[in-house]
Amino acid sequence: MTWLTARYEDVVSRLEQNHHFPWIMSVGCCSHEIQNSSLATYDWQRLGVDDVSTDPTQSNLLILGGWINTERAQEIKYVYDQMRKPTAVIAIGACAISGSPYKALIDAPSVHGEVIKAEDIVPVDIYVAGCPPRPESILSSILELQKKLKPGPSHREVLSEALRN
Amino acid sequence: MSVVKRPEGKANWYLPGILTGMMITIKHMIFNLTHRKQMITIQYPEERYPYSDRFKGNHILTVKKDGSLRCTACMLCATYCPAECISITAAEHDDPSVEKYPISYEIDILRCVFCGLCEEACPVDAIRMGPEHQTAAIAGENFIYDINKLAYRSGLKGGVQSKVDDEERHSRGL
Repeated sequence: MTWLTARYEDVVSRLEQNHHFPWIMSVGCCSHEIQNSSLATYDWQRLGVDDVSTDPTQSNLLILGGWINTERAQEIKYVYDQMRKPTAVIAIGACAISGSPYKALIDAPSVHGEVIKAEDIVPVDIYVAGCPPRPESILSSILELQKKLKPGPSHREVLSEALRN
Repeated sequence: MSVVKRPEGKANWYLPGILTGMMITIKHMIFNLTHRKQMITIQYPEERYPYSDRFKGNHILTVKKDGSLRCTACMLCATYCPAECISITAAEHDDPSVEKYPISYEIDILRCVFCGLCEEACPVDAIRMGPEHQTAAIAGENFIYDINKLAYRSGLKGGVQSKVDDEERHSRGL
């Protein structure tokens, strides 16, 4: 009967462990892979990631990808501050994580702009290596995020083990 | 002002229109339930997409027959790497027939762009791009892959051997 005395925040946090509302800020080839993982072949709604919301204040999962320059860094910080807390952040691809494809700009910032790492702007929870990563990697990052939000074996693992036995 | 004259009678009923639209959805649902193998969705953690042999995934360091590393620490991959993510420390080997070997071979996987140039630069087929897709990990884990992870991780079952034999290579003067 503990659910009778449960607080509203506890109920919401329990529901949000397996249900994410994404807000995608991505450019370049990583955004194609993110779109691919949301479409029919790699359907990320199976894993609990909802449709892309129209409002960042309703989202709690920020997906970053692509080259982050000074202007985009300001936008990302502005959006992240408005998003619902607790906010999970997934950084996808080598550009957003370390900026290594544009390492000439890291060494010497020029008129073409400069590259900023995602971890310098917002606290990143999950890193997905790759340039760009496969949609499977993006799906496994969501599984890792759910493992971080709720430690222990997930429902999917329990069910697959029960089916195997 | 133009007025569109809507047809009267049967077309005023909205329910047949909704059911006709839903028929497409229901048809797809029944097809997917009865033809599970033709369903285009890949149920990811249980079933995997079959990659081609040329897929560039996580790196593999190949081993010799006795299990030691094939790498000779010639630094060609570290020189050629456009992302500068490979760092090698070389050392002299006790065996006089082996020139050098790497004490530490580290790849910063967050900097790597998976271009495959290290695989092309390697003269002794010591590094390969493997068949596994790129990994996602929680921030704070170890992202710098060392020899244990690159050559002897559990998915490789004790290391991958190259088909090119060392003696054959020496006899051809390579």
